[in-house]
Amino acid sequence: MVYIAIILGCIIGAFIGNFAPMISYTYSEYLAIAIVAALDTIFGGIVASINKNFNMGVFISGFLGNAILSILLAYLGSRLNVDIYLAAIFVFVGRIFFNLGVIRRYYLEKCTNFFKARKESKGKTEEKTTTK
Amino acid sequence: MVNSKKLALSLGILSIIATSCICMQYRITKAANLDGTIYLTDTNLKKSVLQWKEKCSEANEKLDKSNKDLEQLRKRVADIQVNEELNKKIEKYEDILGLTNVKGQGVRVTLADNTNKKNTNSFASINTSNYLVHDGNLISVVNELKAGGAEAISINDKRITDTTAITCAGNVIQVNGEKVGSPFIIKAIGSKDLLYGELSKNGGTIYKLKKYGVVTEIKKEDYIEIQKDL
Repeated sequence: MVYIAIILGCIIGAFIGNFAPMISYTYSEYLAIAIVAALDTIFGGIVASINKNFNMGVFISGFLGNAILSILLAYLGSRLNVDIYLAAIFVFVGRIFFNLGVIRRYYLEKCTNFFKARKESKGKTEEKTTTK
Repeated sequence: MVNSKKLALSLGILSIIATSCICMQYRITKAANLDGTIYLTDTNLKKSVLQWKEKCSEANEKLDKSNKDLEQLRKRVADIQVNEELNKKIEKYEDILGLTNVKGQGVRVTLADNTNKKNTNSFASINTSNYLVHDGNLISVVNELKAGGAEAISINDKRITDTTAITCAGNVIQVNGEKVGSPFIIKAIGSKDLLYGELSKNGGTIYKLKKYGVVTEIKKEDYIEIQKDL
């Protein structure tokens, strides 16, 4: 369900992005940071769905807060001639990898459990056949 | 479950935002690259500036050294030949080459652009360019001073030597490759009466400039000092 929604969203978003008006090059830096923040929030949402502790308010406020704060920091950095936006990207990408690790472990466990169960059931059937 | 539906909806909306932003960003960067702009890296420029600075300081050191050598050689020559005539000749040529500080009586000429445009009844009011001092005016003034027997001339403390070029550089004038702007103060050393007479003659450059509406002033001075050419 979650993955179908994400894929559908990706397709619709690609269409919208292709026909949206162009933004001037000076603001593309801030747009890039917003993209990274959105990706971070998506991964966070997937992890929340796995852990079953999803909270709508936390989710939306996290996305908006992260995006706005990182854009403000990037603006401040460009005023102060310090690349602060690198720090924001560092944090976001680090969290993306962390969340990816959680997701990977969850599905790996599921997979191994599935194969184990199959093997056990097969062994049981074999036993049954031998006994017969 | 309501919760999972909500989650799916919000994640879908977020992914719409993210992908549309990615597509936009992709188009922006593509357009920026298509302009054919070359990204000049600052590091290259910095490097070349530093290299040129080093070269400049090296050349300056060399120049200092050779100047010292030249002085020593001259002293030795002066020791060998105690010939006053020769020494006088050397001094004279040094003055001409602009290698020494010169002081003495002379004239001070001031030429300035007429910014007020008060002299509207002059025939120069047809063309505002005539209110300005041009490189050609300076050259003719310098030539008149030379004709009047000036030993040393300077424009805004830039010594005029035999290799000096006075050229137009937009709204300023270049003397010895250095920018000089209005007002131009031309100092000349020589017989002050001769120089004054030469400059203020009827039909001379200053006379013409006055008619055009340029601010001019000629002053006789008893003591003028002109620095040597750097």
